[in-house]
Amino acid sequence: MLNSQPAESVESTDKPNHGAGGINHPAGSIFFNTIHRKMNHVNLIGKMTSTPRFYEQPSGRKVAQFTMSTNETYLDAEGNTKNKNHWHRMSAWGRWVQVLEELPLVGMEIAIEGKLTTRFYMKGEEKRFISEVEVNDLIIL
Amino acid sequence: MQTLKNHVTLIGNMGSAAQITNFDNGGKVARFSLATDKYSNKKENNEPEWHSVFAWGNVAQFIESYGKKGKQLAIHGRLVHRTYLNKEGKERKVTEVEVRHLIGL
Repeated sequence: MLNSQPAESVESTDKPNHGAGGINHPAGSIFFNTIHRKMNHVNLIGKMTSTPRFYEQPSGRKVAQFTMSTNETYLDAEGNTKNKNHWHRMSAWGRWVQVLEELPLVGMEIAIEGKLTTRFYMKGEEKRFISEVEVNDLIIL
Repeated sequence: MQTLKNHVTLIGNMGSAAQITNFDNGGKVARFSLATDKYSNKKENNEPEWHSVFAWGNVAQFIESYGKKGKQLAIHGRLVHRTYLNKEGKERKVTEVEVRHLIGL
């Protein structure tokens, strides 16, 4: 049985490789097997502004929802500095649910890396769309 | 530096030609939708994720001439939220990406 394992790994290198530009990169590399014709990437640095809300999807996946705000300063027409806050809706699943359950992060500065997703729900007869940022990585600053 | 704290990068295809709005003061806004893949490294069952995107000024001018359905774009910008009144006069919230820099691929 042990001898058959290396043979399998050799076989896997023969599989077609969807690396960037059609170049054959070593098989099994997570970087080179990803197709990079499309990309969806969001970075946010700001304050977490709400306690996370947890719920479970019908599939059993646990999801946490919270909001964070990013602060922006700009100059108005008279040259005064103005502050503006943008509120972002965030969603997290997987190991981040556990992190958010255990750590009281509200009001803390965090940095987030994730992707922009859109989903919809039905309110009565009406279809309503929500955009949220799905957390891929989170750092407490 | 404004996009340091609020930064979005998207590479995808345009869903349709941009909708151009010209303002009296010479301003210009181009609005369009951009499709990226929902699952970036699964080949099968890959439905698009649609993003609504808008751009001002020179970038809008570029999109007006270059933008067509299916054109591939790389976008750098920020996430912006706003409210508008729909046909029935009810308030709706939308999340959009405001383009800062753009490359036609």
